[in-house]
Amino acid sequence: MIFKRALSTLIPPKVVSVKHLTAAPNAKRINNVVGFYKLLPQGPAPKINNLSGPLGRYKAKYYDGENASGKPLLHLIGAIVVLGYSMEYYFHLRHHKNGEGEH
Amino acid sequence: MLNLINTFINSPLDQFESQTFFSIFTPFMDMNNFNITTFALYTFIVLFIIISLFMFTNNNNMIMGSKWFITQEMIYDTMVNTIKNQMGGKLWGFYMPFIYTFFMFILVSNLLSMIPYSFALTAQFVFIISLSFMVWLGMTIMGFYKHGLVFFALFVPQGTPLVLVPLLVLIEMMSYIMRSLSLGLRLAANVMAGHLLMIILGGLLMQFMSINILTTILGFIPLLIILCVVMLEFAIAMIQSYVWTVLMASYMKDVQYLH
Repeated sequence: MIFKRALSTLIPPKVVSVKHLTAAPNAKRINNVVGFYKLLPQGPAPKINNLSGPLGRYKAKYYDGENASGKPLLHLIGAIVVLGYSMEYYFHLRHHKNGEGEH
Repeated sequence: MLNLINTFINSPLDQFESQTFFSIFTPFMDMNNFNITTFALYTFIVLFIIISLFMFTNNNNMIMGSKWFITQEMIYDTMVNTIKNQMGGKLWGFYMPFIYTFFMFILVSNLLSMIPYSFALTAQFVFIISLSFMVWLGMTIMGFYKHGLVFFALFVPQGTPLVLVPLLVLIEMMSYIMRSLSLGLRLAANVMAGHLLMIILGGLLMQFMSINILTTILGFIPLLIILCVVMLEFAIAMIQSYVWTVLMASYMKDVQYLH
């Protein structure tokens, strides 16, 4: 008995064969299975993006899938340098043009 | 000749100065605390970076994140391991999000301050020491809430001879109270010293290199040393946020388990 069971796990069961397909009780079930698989979406998966607008486009360009890169870091550094320098210019540097009144 | 010095910050301490962009004036009360300053602006930038690190990298809520998400997973994993090792027991999970939030905030603001012309949030002594004092006060209240007067057992190390108890309680209590200062002071002093060092060395070299062509060429040798200092500051930026986390977890352990 145990030997038989061990053998049955080794040999794959015959799920689909000509004999089973033609057999009346199984035909409907097989049809259901075929119908189910026909309904499934085909082809490559559609690209989804849970953000819309400029942020969504930015994310799709630099974060998602194969597009992932370190460029957002460079953008951040650039933005902070521009922001920081313009603030520094507005609050300090424009008062010290041409080396007048340093410190 | 183009005066290069003038494109540079004039005083080393200028970088820590907070400018007011927007303020409310009323004749009735002082509304200064609601001013929008450089500090507020950079706090919002840090918030935006931390939120975007999660929103942009979660790969549209799928099971696996995008490649960017590896950074998030690494930081999270490091925090889980650190806090688990520091606190032990079963309670570490409750306080992990709290400590993780501090780590992310300090790490991002430290690294953000390394960008030229940026603003160092963590070098603001008032802010950082208030933060550490609030954490310490909250933990102390939690300790009393949880253990009642038994909380004072924290000040008596195990196996102390009875004669030494009054002295030790005094010393332990002092060291416990000083934690509220030292936690913040360590971070703010490190960041401030680092930024000052970089800008003073950089300013000196800028003056030296702008004398003539020869000094410009010679100046590249000390420039390499300054580059090493900048790399060291990057390391300090990360290490200090980690140190804060480790210490906070160990203080939390003291409060939760008393020894």
